[in-house]
Amino acid sequence: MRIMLVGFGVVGSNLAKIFIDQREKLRRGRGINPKVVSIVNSRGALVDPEGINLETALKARESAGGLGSLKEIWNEGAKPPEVLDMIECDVMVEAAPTDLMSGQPGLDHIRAAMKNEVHVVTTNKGPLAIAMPALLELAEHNDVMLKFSGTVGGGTPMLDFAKKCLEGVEILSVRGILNGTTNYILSKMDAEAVPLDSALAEARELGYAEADPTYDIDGLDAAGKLVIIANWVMGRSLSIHDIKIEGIRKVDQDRMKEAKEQGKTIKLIAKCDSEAEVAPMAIERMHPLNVSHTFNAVTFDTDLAGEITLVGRGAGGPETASAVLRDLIAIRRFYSRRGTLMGRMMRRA
Amino acid sequence: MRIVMKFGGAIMRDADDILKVAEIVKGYRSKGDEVAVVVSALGGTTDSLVEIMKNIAYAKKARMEKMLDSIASRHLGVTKRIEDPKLAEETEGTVNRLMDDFRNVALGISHIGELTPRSRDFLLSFGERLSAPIVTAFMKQRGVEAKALSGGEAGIMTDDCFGEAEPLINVTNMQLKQNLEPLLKEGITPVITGFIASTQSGVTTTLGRGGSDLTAAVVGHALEADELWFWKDVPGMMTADPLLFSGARVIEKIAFKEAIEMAHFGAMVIHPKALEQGINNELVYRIRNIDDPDGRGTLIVRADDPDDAKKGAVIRGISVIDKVYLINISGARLVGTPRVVARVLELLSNEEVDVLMISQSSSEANVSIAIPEADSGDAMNILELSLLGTSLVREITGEGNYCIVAVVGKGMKGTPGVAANVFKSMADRKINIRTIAQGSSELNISFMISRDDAKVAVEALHRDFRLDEA
Repeated sequence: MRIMLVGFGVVGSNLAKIFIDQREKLRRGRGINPKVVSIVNSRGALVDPEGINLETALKARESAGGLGSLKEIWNEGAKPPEVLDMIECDVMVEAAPTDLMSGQPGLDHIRAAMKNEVHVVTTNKGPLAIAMPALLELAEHNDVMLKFSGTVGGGTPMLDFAKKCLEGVEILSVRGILNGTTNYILSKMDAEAVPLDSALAEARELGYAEADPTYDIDGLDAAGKLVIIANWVMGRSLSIHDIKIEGIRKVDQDRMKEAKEQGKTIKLIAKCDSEAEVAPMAIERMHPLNVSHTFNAVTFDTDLAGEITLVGRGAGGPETASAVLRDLIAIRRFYSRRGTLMGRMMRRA
Repeated sequence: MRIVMKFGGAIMRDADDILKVAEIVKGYRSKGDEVAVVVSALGGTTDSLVEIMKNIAYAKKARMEKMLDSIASRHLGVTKRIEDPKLAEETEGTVNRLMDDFRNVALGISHIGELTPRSRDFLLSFGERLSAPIVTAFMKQRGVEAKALSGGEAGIMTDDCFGEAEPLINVTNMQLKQNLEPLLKEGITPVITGFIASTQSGVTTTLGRGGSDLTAAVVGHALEADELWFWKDVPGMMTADPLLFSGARVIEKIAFKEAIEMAHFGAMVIHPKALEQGINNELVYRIRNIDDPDGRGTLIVRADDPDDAKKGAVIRGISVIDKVYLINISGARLVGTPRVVARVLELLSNEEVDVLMISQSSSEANVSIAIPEADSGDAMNILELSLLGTSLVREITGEGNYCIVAVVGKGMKGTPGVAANVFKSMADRKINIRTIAQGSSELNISFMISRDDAKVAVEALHRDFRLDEA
């Protein structure tokens, strides 16, 4: 499987590590023999049709010169569309930095891949938050797969769970805690009665919050994930602009206490029923959604099976990389099924 | 208010017509409305292009050249009426450049002598590509900020079924919004070529018959316009063809489903494809008369529109498909199996004969099929060649000089006795009905009568169902 890696940050490098560590297992057990033919970052692209040596690439990533130090295969300034013209590949793994307001540059990367009939695995919420219906339509038009397990609950496969395991029932509404950072902060505020700022500072110290936690704190990250869930499992056609979003900045101890007195706690809830919104809401302490730490949880309310709640880890590098692996396996299966279809046709002829 | 307006070729034949278009747009713009415009080719241009393509295929270069010259001079004639010298020069330049392009491609194709669907679409697109900049110039001259865009430039992206391309609706919506919203915000009216679009690689496609209406509908939905106006040379949708019955009235309000039904039965004011787009949306369509710009026209609304005063009306309108030919096929082999009927339909479809109506008695020994009279020769020929003398059928007969009358209205759904009243109207006038069909949607009852009875029938139904009452 010839892979083009766009973005070589936490997800990209973790994926490379998995490819190195599990090479044999992937090949024998999963039928995947990954050959990374290009690694693209914001400065340029490594391109080698024979497959890039991932150990070398990882080392270069850590070095002062960055990927550009591998001069022989480095193309300064090359962007994914140009790289697609230079080499053949089967799958693009899009893990470029997320921009939830414009979806770029991921949106252009994905469109370019599809136009070249290259399958896409993305961990980038931006393009989907902006243009998911359009991208799914383009995938179908170009007869390629667009997989995005890593965008929502990398560690908790809620998308596949709802789509596959809940087949046949109608999902009436979705409510969930989709952002680990804010959940850590709110849990801390609830348990230790500390103000938001100090909870945030601690989250930062522990590496649960990024240097610029705006996307998390203002609810945008959760909103992006909600768009993906609502579109994929409830068949909506939403973009992030259709969602009413309120972050946790205004949650203070007064509000926390008030909720506590009523046997409730404040969580940043993303929900979609007749309308879609993200906002801090009081939920019953006993409700299964009430998870602490950086955990994620989602409740599907169904017509026949009642409420089902899924709890699991939010996404870090390895979790998201594992989701990418899941998607790559799905794409491999797509090929092998095609193979058998071809075989059937041959036999019939 | 945000309005998308579509101007068809029939109302854009010369410079005076286009001036009228510019005035209308100016009027609404100066009232503060946001306007986006979709235009067809100047009246008759597309027919000339089709004619040219026939000649290309046979490499009749001299004739082709002559026709090209006439298209060029027609468009240049219109541009002469632009008073601002700079604007006139600019537009003339655009027309000349486009004509040069056209000529080069056409000559290239005629050398090869093969016209692929792809090149056909490319050539066909020139009608609209010529008209949009001209209309834009006329608007600018009237002080309306405007910008000409091809369908592809505006953002309409289709699959690659050339000649009958289907928009990828989600991608198209996104791109239209992206490209047109900023123009509207800046007070610029986009003037978009109807009918043409492009694939994801930028190759020109056309949307098939009724394509300009479809373009307008797609643009209207993407921009979440308040209303979509189709400017026409008729007052609106009519309760009946005014040529058949002078008492026909403009329908003030009609539901999308009814309008589609009317369109299918010949009252082709807006193409059904464009109407289909509207069924599940909030957008309201309106048909307006270019010769009576302040008239109300016809409003096309959702079926559950609460303000629809005549919601309960059983029948909205009567359409007539004229010149219909009736084929009767009988034989014992028709009983108990759909095989013969399937074969008949397959044969007709291979000959590209449009089947208007089928009716089969439940004894199954007889099937009646209505087709356009123009196709009757081909149809009878292929049916006789393939079926007569086989054991499949006993007899095939055909008769011409018929028409199909359809009464349309969603009010007839669940209302008992509508059919009885329709047929009583006919019986009272001693009109013989040959064959009858009612779709299970209960939106229409259609039946076939002699052409000679058409006038009397329409008038009778109009009276008996009180369509002349407002």
